Amino acid sequence: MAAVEAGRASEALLQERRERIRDRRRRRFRDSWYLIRSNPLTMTGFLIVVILIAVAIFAPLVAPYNPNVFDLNHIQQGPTWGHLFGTDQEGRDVFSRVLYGARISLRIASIAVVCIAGIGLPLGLIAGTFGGWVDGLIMRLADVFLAFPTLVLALAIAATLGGGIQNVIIALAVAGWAWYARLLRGVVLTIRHEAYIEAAQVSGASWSRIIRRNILPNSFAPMLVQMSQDMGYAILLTASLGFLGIGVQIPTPEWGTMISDGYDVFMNAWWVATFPGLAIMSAVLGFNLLGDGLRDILDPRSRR
Amino acid sequence: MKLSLLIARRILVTIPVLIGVTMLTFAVSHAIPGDPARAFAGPYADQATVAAIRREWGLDRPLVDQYWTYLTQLVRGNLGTSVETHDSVLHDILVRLPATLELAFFALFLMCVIGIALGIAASVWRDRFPDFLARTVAVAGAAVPSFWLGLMLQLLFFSQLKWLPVSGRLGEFTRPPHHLTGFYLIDSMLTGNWSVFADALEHLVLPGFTLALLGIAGITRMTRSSMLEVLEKDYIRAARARGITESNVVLKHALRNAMVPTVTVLGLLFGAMIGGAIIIEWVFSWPGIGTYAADAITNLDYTAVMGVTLTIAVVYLIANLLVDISYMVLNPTIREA
Amino acid sequence: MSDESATRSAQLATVELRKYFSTRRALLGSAPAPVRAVDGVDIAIRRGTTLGLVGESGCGKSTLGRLVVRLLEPTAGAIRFEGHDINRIKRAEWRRLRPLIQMVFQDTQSSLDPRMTVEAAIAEPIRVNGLARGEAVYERVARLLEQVGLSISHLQRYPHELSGGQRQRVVIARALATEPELIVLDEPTSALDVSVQAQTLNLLKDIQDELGLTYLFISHNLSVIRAMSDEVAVMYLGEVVERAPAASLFRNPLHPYTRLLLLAMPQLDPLGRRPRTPIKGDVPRPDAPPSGCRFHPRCPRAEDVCQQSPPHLRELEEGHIVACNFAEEYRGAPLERMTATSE
Repeated sequence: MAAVEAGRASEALLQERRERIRDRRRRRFRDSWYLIRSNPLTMTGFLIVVILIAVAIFAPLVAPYNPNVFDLNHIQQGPTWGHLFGTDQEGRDVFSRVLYGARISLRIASIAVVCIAGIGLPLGLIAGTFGGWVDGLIMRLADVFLAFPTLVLALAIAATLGGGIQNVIIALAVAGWAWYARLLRGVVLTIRHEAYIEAAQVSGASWSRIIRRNILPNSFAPMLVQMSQDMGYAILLTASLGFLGIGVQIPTPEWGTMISDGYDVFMNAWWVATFPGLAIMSAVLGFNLLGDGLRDILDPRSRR
Repeated sequence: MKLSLLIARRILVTIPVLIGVTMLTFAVSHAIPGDPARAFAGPYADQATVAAIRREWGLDRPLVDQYWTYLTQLVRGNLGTSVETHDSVLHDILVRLPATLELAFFALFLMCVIGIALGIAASVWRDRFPDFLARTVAVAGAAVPSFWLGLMLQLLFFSQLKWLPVSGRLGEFTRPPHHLTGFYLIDSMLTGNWSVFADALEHLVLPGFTLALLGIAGITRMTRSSMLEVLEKDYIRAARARGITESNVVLKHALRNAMVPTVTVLGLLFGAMIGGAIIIEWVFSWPGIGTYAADAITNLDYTAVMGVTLTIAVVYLIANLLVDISYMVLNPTIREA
Repeated sequence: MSDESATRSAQLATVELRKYFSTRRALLGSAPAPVRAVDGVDIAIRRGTTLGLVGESGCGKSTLGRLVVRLLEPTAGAIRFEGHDINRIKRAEWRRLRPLIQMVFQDTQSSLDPRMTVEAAIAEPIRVNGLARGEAVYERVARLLEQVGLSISHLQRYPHELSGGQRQRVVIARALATEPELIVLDEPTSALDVSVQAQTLNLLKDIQDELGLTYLFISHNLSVIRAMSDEVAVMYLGEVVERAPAASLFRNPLHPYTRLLLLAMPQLDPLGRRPRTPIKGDVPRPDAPPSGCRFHPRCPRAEDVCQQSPPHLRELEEGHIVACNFAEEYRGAPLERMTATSE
């Protein structure tokens, strides 16, 4: 067998290689963009998410008023040019509160999804790759958590722990991880028996390498799609918790709690509850559409 | 493998999960921050009183003991006493169960009828109006926060249009029909009390529809995609070639096969519906388990919250079990696994 | 050469190799009989030669291939490579030997990771075994591509952008990446178009001559086996029923099963002189093999003795061994004669 070669490859070869990779990257970028553009639904979802993120980041700059400041001179005023979404019963500007609400929602949702994925994905990966009793154990555990409807479990946990951002995230994470574990396990199981995994074994790759180089990249796509849609779902859950009073604490502007505030004055001041609800709906819609579109983009076969 | 064996195995597997569920509920109920004994006794009670309460509740015993007591009590049907109503939680739940069930079945009915109809329409008139409508419903329905939708519908149909009522199961001055099943629709039909029937139906429409929307979105989407797939198949072409009328082809041949994947989603939808029911009942002041749970949450009535959670989990588990079993019965290929 | 010395001097040899699979146990009741995929197989391959392994689907040839590359562990018996028992050596020793035994798979589509470029796929075994680092890896990959007749323009492509024939070349290049001495080829051309098959087989032959490789060539297609093999072994229901040098086997097969297989080979014969002789019956279930000689229910020559006791492998001619009670009758017999010479 030849000795280990650590020398340099020919310059021509390297050059050609670099060029081709660059071409490929450029093409992939163009194709992705084309796929987003060509489907109006995906485009809409993409735009909504982009706007949402922008609003969340730039809320302090864009919001006309401080969301927490009372203005008892302007209680429950309808939408005007001064107050685009009107004011609530404390005189706070609903528009600003909705904008700031985007921050809270996105923050909670992203942290929650990361936590859920952080627990669920490794467990699902292990269960799917190694099978046997490990698989059985993890799946039984997941079954116990999945025996509860997600919202119900999140409610129970949030109610017990009390409100507040941290507890909301914990509630979401505990209620949501099992779904991911099961999902990834399913994906891994289908990949596991493909011939290229066997080929990697014959080449001498260790299981950790096979997981890293073959299993994970191929499971990536469905997981990313799921995570995108779950951002929307997490926002919805947070709002539900907020609506019932066990979510984010007042006076922090969160869409769910805002709707709950607006519930009492609904007949007289419909705007207090309506606009936050529209915001929730748009956000969830955006993430759902984006997730659907991602599915197409991430499939390497969908290119031309 | 034999069907009965498969079913037996499926049921057997549920048992450890059931035990796990009780463990999880127990764990959550013990996650209450702070000292429940102290909370019960109040901030002015002295140490001795608090200690006595703790002893009475068994909080000073090891966790395993406490869990065992919990479990044995559960098996006897004791879910604890509600701090608010001072009644047994089980009793509270049972009393409110018919209301929730009636709402749930009504929503289920709406879900299936509207969802399947939309799905079929979308697949038959592809890329035309029914398809766009169905796709919009499928996408938007999944994104709408149910409590908000409830409010919007209340605004529209009650405040503005004054068409439909928005709270309770019956009008303020209407007396419920003679109690036979607890379902007002059925009871009023059985006793021929049509005015009450109409009233009950009126009250069911808005909350039922709100509850059903999420399910409608899911079922529409699934029905549409599986119908599209089935309609491409060769046996459908063969049926058309044999001269079977289009409506028969669609409704008898295609639909039957397209329904199978939808059944698998039913379990999940049911779970989502239960969750939604809690909030929607509260919004519409529907006197069911949902309002009970929502009130318990707001009132920090932990016993009730945990009792309801556990009940819901058990019901959900059984529902999924039934869905799986019926899937096994309907789909022979699964048995080969 | 006697069988004993053949085993000793062979590069790869299996001794009484068995692989049984247990089907899933029922919830209640006893375990059903195991599937005897490979049931007491002895083969030996000399360095630099090709052993063709042929049989119908379900005969265990693929399982045997997987056992040789250690994708499966044997239930009993031994696999010897260069004299080492590969299932019982120490891990460090196996790490040294593993790169020397590689495999080419059948399904070109699924044997390549759809998310890996051609370059990454071929580079992977090189990196895994530490045969090169950094930029030197690219040089080796380029050379391997050249060897299988692809150009470096293919490097950054993904499997779905290549034709079936091109994909198979990539699979071959990948197998060659670790500088193996023995390659197991499991139906390497079965999924390809006929025109591409010939190209691929020629490529495989060229590479073998160039690098002095040993091949274990598994196929159900006798024409391909004839084209590629130096020696042929015929398998039926987990056992080797006949083994001979290729020329000898095709000129004068001695086992009824082999004879029937050859009769079934498509022939370019405008006058249609050869009568069709289908093998009657179906392949029995692998977990319930027939008693005695496993082929007896479908064999035109079978007699009672065949059902009672299984015939052993006997060497009838130089290097030509058969497991049949009546093999002698077929010596020198024309292919069409399947039953007793008295006929």
